[in-house]
Amino acid sequence: MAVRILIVEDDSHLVESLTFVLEREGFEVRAAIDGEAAMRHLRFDPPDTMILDVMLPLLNGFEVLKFVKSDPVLKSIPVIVLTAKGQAHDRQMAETIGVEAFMTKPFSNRDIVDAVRHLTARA
Amino acid sequence: MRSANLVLAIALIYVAVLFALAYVGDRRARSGRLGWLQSPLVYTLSISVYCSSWTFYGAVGSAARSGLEFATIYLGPTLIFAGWWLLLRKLVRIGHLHGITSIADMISSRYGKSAPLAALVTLISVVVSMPYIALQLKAITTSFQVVGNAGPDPLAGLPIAGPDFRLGFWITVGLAIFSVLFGTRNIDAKEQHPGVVAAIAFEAVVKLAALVVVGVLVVWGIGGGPTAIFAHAPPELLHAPDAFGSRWITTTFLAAAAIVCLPREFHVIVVESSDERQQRTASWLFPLYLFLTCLFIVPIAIAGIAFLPAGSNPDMFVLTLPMWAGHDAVAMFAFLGGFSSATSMVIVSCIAISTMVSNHIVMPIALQLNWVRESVSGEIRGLLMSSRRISICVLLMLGFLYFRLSGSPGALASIGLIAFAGVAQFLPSLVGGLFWRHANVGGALVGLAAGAGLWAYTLLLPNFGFIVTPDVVESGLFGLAWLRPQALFGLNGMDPLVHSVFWSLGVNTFLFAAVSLAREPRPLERLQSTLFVDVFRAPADTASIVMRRTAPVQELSVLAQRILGEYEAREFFRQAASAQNLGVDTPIADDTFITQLERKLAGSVGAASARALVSQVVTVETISLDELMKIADETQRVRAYSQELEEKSRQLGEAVERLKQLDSQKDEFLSQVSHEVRTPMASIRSFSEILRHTPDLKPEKAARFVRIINEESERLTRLLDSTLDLNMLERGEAPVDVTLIDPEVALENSIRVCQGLVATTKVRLSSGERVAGVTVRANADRIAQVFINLISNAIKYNTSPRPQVHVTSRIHEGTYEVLISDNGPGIRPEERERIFSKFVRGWAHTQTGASGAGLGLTISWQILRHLGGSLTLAEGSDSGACFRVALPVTAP
Amino acid sequence: MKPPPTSGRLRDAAALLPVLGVALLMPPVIRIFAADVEFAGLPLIVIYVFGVWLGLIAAAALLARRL
Repeated sequence: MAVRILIVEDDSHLVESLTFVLEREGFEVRAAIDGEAAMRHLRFDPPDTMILDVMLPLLNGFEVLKFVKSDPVLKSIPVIVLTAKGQAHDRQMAETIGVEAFMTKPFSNRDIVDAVRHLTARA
Repeated sequence: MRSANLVLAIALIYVAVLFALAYVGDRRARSGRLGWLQSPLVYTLSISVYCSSWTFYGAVGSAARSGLEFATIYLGPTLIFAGWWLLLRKLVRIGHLHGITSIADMISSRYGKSAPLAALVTLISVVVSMPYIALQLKAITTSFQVVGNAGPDPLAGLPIAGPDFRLGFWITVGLAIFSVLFGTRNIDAKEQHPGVVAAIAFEAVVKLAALVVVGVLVVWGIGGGPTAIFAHAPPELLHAPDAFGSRWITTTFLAAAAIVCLPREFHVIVVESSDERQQRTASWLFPLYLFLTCLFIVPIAIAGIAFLPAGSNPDMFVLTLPMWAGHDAVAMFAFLGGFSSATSMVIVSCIAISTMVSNHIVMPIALQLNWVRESVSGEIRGLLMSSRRISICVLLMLGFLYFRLSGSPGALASIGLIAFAGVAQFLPSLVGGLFWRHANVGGALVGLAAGAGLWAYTLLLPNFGFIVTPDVVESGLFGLAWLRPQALFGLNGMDPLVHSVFWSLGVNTFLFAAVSLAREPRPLERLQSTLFVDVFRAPADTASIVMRRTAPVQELSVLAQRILGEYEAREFFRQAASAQNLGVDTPIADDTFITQLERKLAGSVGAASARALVSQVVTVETISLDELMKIADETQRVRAYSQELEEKSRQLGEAVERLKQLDSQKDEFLSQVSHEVRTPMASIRSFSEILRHTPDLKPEKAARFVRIINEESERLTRLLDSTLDLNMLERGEAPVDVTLIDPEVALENSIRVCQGLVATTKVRLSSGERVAGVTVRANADRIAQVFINLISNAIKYNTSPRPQVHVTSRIHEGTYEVLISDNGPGIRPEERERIFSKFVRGWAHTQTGASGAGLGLTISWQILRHLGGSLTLAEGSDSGACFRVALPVTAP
Repeated sequence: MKPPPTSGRLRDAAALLPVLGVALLMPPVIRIFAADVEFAGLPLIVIYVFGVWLGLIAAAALLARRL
């Protein structure tokens, strides 16, 4: 069974490129373009790993992250947070809540794939 | 040859010359050609009115009796003039700024224009002038008798029968006529008498020349050189054991005080001065005059003792030595010198004191009794003039009375010192008032009254022998030993002069300070105190900031005409009106004008009377305590200054806070921009990596990815452009070229542009009800930018299956409104607040592929704010969003 | 070369000149010169008093010119 990845990102082009790259590596990719859609996915079809942008419409990434990390079942899902460099505050906040990895935009496709591999292998 | 008639004839000719000089001087002054009349030399010479016949005859007498002590009378003024920068400069500056007419006016002005204080100073001046004028009468009478050969033994210098009082009386009458003619021919607004100044400057030259001629004759003609003269000096004359004791200090001090406190000295130094340059020169030239005056005093005294018969009157040595040597012409010249010194002193004293009497005693009484209100124009001037004439006559008669009653066997110098000790009573109030802020009218009144009383009791009256008889001097008033006038409270063994000065000035100063400290000054006193003490800092017009007064211009004009005369008053009003730039001849009676007028009137009647006169006309008068406190009290000023500093530092703190806030906003903005830039960049990088590392990529996929990369880089460009645009708008750099435009034209163009966007989609862009002929103040390009932004947003984010965008315009309550509505997903209620903020995108954009930077609405909102309009979300549309653009309509 | 004195110093000098005069002409200093000594046939005290006087005049003239 393929490892399932949930991408939570509001930029459709970025979702498209990430989906393309990860699917080529054999992962099963779903995407959510806002926080509420992400919650729906998490409730009904929890993924093995999640890539989360913190700047999201409706429900921002931190709230999604908090929800995941406070849920007894979901909290084991590894989360890669996408941040923009220079927003130390965001990073600090994500660390406090508890997060497995950070990716700074713009990232290289290789790093994302390696991070996802590393986290799913550990799980 | 030296008959009394010849002497009389010469004296009369001399007086005629003086009159001619005064006449010419006044003529020149009136035609504005003051020239040499205002020269520092003439000013200095006029100050030498200080050297009266006390100097001319008395100095030699004093030197013959007590050696160098006479010099103290001239060393005191030398010290004051050498230090002119400290005291005289301030005195003269204040005198000019406030139109001071006399020492009484000066002191009363300083203490809140107090009328009682002015009257007290005047009264003391009158009393003090009695012995002083008596001294001149005695000197003239005696010299007349001596030089006119009237006595049995002229060389003794003292007629055995004593002074001829009949002669003295006629001399008094002559001097009275002379002074009245000289001093009260006209009333000048500034109390300046250029003609008189010219005459007394001439007299100053005559008396100095006479003294020098006599000196040269005595030293080289009679004595055989200075060394030979000093060889005749009695050993104890110059080396008396107690020569430099308390008396030396006291007389120097009294002379220093007298040079500013004597009414006539105050008059020539302060009232008659015209600019500071004069004092600059006088600071050394007047001491030099005194020095030259004194140079021959000691030799003449020694020669008199050595050559004239024993028992000769030393006070007449200047006259009797040339007579003894047979130099009649020199003797005659010496007589003229003495006559000059006496007449100039009498004239100037009379002018000064009669001005004080008329301004500070007669005027207040006239005002009190309402003589003035009913009077016709010119009557005040008439009243002033006649009161001055009468007071001159009374003054001279009082002097004669003193001369007659005291019978004065005393030396000239000792009479003079009585006068000096009297005027020295003004010193604490005068100098204290110039330098001590808290000095107030209570202290001045009590100190002066007590000091003058003690002076009269301990010095004046004993000399008089009147009331304080020798009996009282011996055993004290009512037989009380501790009240003995020359040993008050048992303080005996002192020189009577030193004793009197100690008690009178000591008590005066103590009470002045103590009462000043005990009493809170009235507002006007506080104001005057500031204006005087801080004369070099605060401008005199500060008064008008503090005083709030109004008065009918007509009544002020009538008042001014009565006192200044019709011509001068009209001229003053005309000048004030032109200074106010009114274009008419009548000024507005504001605070400044009333203050100026009062100061002008003060030049004629003194500050206290001027204030009383103006107060009769003024309808409202308040002294702003706030303003006063601000300027008057130094601690207050320091506090105000520190408050100002605090305020400034508070403002600075706020500015720093604001800057910090702006800085953090800038940081936040930058990080937002960075985030917004990073997302498209992440796409670009990711896709370009795919393109590089995926050799087996299908061509159509590759083409799509390349297009995305292209789109994202365009997005980046737009983002940066918008960011710069917004930054400019937020910095307040308003859209350029705001003109009157028809907004409908811009709207129509925008719709046309957007039709192009719509062409490839199924969106229907329609235009509804529209207005015509509207004019607004705006920039056509900026307005079009807003419309296009709003319409294209409505098109881009419309997810409706049958997308529609509808544009209408209308005039609503004087405002031009454009409504752009759509049937898209709309703005969620929780987004309504933030939708116009930077980088905020509605949730709708997630429903479509359209990407924006989230700056369009912010920019539109800013543009409309700059144009005085607004961009709002219209309420109540059931589906979709409706934006409302509003701009104020400009009347065509 | 010495720099010209500032006007502030000149003003202080002008204020101190009378103080100097008082010091020289008042006891006790003046008593030093009151001795019965002759100098060129003239009593020392006369030379002293008139000399100080002339000095004060000269100093005042100098200050007045430059103030």
